[in-house]
Amino acid sequence: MDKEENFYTRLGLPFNATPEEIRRAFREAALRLHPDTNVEVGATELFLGVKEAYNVLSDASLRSEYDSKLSPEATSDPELTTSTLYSVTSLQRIGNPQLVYLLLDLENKIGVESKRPHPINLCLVIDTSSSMQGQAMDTLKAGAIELIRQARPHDTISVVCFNDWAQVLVPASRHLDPSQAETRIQMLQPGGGTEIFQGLEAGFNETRRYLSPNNANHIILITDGRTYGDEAACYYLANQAVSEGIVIDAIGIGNKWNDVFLDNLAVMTGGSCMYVIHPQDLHHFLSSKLAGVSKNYAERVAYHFNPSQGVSLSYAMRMHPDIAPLENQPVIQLGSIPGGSRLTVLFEFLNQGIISEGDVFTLASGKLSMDIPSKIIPKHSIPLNITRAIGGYHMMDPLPSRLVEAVARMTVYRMQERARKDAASGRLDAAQRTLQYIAMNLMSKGNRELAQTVMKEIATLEEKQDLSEEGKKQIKFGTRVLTNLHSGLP
Amino acid sequence: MESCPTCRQKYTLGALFCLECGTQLVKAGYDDTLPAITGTQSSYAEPPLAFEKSPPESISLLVLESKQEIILTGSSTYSLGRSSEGQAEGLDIDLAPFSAYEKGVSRKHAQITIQEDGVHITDANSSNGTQINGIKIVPERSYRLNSGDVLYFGQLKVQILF
Repeated sequence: MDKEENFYTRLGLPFNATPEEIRRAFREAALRLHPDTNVEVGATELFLGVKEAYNVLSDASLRSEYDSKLSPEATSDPELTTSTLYSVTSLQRIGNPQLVYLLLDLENKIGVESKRPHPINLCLVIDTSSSMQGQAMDTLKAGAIELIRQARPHDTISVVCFNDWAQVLVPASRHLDPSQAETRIQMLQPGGGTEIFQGLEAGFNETRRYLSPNNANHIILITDGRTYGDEAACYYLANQAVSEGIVIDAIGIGNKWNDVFLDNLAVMTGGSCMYVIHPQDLHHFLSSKLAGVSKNYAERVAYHFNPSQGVSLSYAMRMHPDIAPLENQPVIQLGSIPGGSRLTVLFEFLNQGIISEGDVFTLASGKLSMDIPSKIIPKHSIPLNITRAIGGYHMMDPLPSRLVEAVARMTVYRMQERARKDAASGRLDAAQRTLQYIAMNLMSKGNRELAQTVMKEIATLEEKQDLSEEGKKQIKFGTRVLTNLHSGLP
Repeated sequence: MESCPTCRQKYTLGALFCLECGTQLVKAGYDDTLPAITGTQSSYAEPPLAFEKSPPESISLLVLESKQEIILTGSSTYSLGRSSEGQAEGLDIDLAPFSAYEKGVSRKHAQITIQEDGVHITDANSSNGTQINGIKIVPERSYRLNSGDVLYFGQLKVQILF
């Protein structure tokens, strides 16, 4: 399809134009170009072209059919640009299985500061079990109070604390009494166990009261411990959160919390999971998280896809604003697009062979959906079909270095996942070998500190037949940190 | 299916990295234009072939920036590095005259050997590493070279011909 001109550009409209905008644009164009009023040469042809475009775009079903055929470049709008980087230019029709990498960038260039900031609807769910005593608790109290003081008139801030049961400390309300809320937070006394479901459910109920696609609806769960027996209930709740448009972010403090569980919980909802080694760093994590929430351009970005026969998605990973593995599902929650920045996701598709006729192969058809809270109609969707030419296997030459770097990161992360799995199921030799490769890899990239942590874990594995909780987390989150990156990098 | 040069694990067509050991399997963003010289560039997806006839008597290293040529002859093992304050102990080839210090070449950087099955290179645990056609190699491990391969010792770019 012609990249320069399409029905939208013909009417001077952005791809996400509303039906009202389309009608207005057509009326204006018609006034200028109608054969009855304009006798200039070529005006009639222009008018017919505009009419053709309007006939399609003004009809919802014709429009969506037309949209699905547009290239991603054509569907870009000035606020949000979608771009793709592939590892291959074309695929072979028959032959061996082939891998296709796709680095997808969703970028907002303008930022949200210049626009009307959208309200945040946020619930802090704080673990107050006895182990939180001390610096962690003090930092959290200070953070919660700061959050309440900074709340703007349209924001809804609630605070839930939990140990063996939950207590709504500051209920979600538009008429928050800051001094009363502060007093209640100051009075918090740590004690008891860690029942995450209790806290999460209470937080969910508070967030739900002011639910709107025009808000950033977030739950931030902060814990230092493990929950026992209620993981399934938490996952169920997370699923419900997704369907209602609530994002769960998690912050784990120290070494005892269950990183696999909290990571899953966050990823399911498009949120992120952070690891805080020392309680004194908590303040920084919390404030950066909160600043991020109010500056997101788009929330709840999801990829709905339908792979063609013989094609499967083997791995998906968010590369920016943070690095996190994503859930491999027909609808993948990708996360949020930070204002003035971008959301970058890396996909690895495995193609077993092409059955279809023609010159172009669609690996997967689908769309991206998201909420843009600053818009009057916040629901937004962009078609995204993953296609490659058929005509012999050709890798992109040269390969874009950003793509190579992203795949490098994904590879080390997956090796780390495999080492953990092998260690947990007693395949110690395999785990050790993989860890050695990881250490070598990190060394060659100049990340000596993390390489040493990995070497230490190899010794621990030998000695104790298992990895240490601390080492597992440090390696996992260490391979996700964005520092030490190649300059062109996400 | 091709195998990874480091760990011998088979990998799927289109893989950029070996999932087993993390070795990069492709040239990365490699967009340098090379002078027209015979010989093919090898990529590690296709290991070079052994000598078809007899091993070469001399090897030439072409320093690409200055277009100077270094001839390696009369031995089957050459250790490469840079002399420091005039000390070149244990070095067969001193790269100091080619801005080796500024380019991050280690005192003992790498070793090139001529063997029955081809010309090999081993990185001597150098600080900034050695690359073959844009791929960083694992230190202390021998890699077979093809005539025409472009090597980096740190940032010093050299083409090998034999």
